[in-house]
Amino acid sequence: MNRKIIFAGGASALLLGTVAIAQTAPDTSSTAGRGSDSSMSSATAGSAGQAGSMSGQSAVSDQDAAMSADQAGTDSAADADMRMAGERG
Amino acid sequence: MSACLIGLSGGEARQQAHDANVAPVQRVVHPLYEQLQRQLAAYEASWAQLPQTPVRPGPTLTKGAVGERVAALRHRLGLPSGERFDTVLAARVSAFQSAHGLPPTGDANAATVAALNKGAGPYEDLIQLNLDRLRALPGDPGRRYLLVDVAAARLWLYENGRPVHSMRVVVGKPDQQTPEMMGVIRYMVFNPYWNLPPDITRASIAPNATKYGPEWVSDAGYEVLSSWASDAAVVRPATIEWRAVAAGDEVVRVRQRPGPGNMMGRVKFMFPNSRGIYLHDTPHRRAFAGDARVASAGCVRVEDAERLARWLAGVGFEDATGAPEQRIDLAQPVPVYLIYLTASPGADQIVFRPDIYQRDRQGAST
Repeated sequence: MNRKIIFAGGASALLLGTVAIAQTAPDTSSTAGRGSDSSMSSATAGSAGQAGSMSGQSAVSDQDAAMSADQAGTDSAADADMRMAGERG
Repeated sequence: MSACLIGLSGGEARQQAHDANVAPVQRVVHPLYEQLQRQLAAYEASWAQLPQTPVRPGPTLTKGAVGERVAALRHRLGLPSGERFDTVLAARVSAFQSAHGLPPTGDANAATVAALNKGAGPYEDLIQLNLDRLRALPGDPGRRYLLVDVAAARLWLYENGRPVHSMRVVVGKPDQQTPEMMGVIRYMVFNPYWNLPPDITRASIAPNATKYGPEWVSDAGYEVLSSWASDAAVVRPATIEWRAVAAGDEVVRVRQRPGPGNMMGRVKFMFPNSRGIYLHDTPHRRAFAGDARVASAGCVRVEDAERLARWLAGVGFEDATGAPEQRIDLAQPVPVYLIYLTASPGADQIVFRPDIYQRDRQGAST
């Protein structure tokens, strides 16, 4: 099945509903990369997970960029969009 | 230099990589994927090889029953031929029920006969569909992360590759579904405001403001803000044309003040996204009872928010003051994965769960 990653707008989250993620080398610059444990970095059985072109880690890097702007105090259109989305509860 | 050692176990891959003097590649699939794959093989060995003999529908068959339907049932479950429903057949029926998400009564009731007559194929397809869903998870999701199985309405806290705690959650109603998504929790907010999405303001605030007058908004614990900018000011509800909001002709920013009745409870866990999906505490505790925990507007309400807060940031409710919206940044942001599994790996066999959002048919057709 060929699946794609979809960004949830300009936000710091990704939809997984129609996703397959290919795992690439860890992005040590990303937050998730910092959280990676080298003891888990070994190869494993299974040939799945090869489809797609974006890893979870690189997606997180995009989020980092968005959040950096947030932390710098800038109020982008994406920030306003997220504020408008509110919290569904 | 790296090597791709597909087809080997983790230990074998590490050993071969060591022998070959190369670094093994990153794990490509999440351990749950591998676990479900193994249990699929076990399922096929146990249940897919049996004769797919149909059992005629009829009254529930229980221990002591005799006849041709019992004979068909015995054949279907791979037992020696005969027409008596004995203890061995009851145990076999119970095992079948347990392996197919049915209550293990040992009686061949209508649901069990229907499952038997469906054959193994649809179950194998369903497991494959869930393997596809698990492929969406990174192989290395992080040293610490959260996993929410929306179909199970349960949250797991993972540390160093192992779940260290689990708790019940309440997920979205079928008409306000919790999506499959990932995010990164970077901060949490004690004593939070609840910022309402425009559709909820339209459906539940505007009609009341229209019916009872704009003062109802303040009396019910809500505030109106001038815009969606970060420096928006609180404005009087009387300045809003609530009829237009109720009709969908205008949108307005509304938030619920912090307090015991706040929809976010005492803390919300933030991974900003344009769908308004978050993890949070809740004042509505009764929704955690029972197996069908589908009551939210799409967010994930967690059963033990304080435990989660402590795990994420080492602080609990007694660390918060009465001040509204106290933001606590996490020293290490923590990924959160929201997945939907109607067939998931269990301790010793696959666990089938109700398809609460009717996504299996949709997934099977793609």
